Amino acid sequence: MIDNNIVEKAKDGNIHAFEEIFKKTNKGIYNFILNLSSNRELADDLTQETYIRAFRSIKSLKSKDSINSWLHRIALNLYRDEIKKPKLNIKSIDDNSENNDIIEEITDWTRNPENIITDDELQHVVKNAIQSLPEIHRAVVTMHHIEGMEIDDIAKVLKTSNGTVMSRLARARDSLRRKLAFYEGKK
Amino acid sequence: MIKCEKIQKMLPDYSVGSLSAKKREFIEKHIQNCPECLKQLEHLNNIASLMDKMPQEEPPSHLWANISERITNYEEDSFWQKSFGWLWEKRIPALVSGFVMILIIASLYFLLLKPPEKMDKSIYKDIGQHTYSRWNNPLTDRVALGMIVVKNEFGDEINETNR
Repeated sequence: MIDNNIVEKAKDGNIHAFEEIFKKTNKGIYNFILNLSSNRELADDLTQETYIRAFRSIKSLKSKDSINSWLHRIALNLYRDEIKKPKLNIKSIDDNSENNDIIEEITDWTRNPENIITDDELQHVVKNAIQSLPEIHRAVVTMHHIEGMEIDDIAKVLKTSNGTVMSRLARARDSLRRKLAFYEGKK
Repeated sequence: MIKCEKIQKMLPDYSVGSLSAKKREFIEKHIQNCPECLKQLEHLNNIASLMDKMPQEEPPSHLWANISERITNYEEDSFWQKSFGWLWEKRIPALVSGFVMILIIASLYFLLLKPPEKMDKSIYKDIGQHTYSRWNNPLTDRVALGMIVVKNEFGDEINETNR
């Protein structure tokens, strides 16, 4: 939780206050972009760009808005702009050929002769399964499960209703259940 | 079996807590006696629990150094922009354009549309005389006109001679 006074100081151009905001939010923003893009270099660049844009436009932040949601919205918009660029050679989230590799990896895991999965392996499998989801589901899953954001805040990031967020979350969980069906009982 | 399919379609929404109380009750009643649907619900909940425990990566340590450097550079730029930028961005081009336009118009005026030389006021008297005499005798028209021309061309000389 970020103190309102810090936000107000940052709005007045206080870079130290802005640094406080950065310290408290950068891990979430970096991981949000990383989970969307599966690309560390891009996550690094877009995290920097997110905070630079945020500093320049922080005066437009309304008092009722959560700064964390606002930062996520900037990050998401930057990510969406980035994937529209034709030159970019990052893994396309909705590209079936790319997703096939991830699905293949999940399937490979089922060939484990022991049929036992360690926690690290399981996390790796779940991570890959999340990355094979469409962007709208991946964003919701990342914000809710990995970052622990409330449905209200996610709805503000995506500029949609709470019902839509919950529906996407439900579809994402169902999709992951299908992808990870073999996991059941193997741990 | 049909009931199980219906229940299983609703389980993801049930697991995120978005169903109405009536539907929740319907599902809860069903899964008490249906191990298959219960297993599927547990699987959904396990996945949610796994994702909740997913560790986050540490961001690169250079992030803030890069961000603060870019912010500082931007602020330095914006100082000059705040101080003098308005002259260049808004006023200067407008002033320069306006000045150039005035120069062009003035040049055209003086070069192409040279104003006529100031006329001697006495010519008005001659024109009046000419108009008046023309009413009475059309032949005086040419005479009067000739007088005007001669007076304009050699007015100064005539005046000096008259003195």
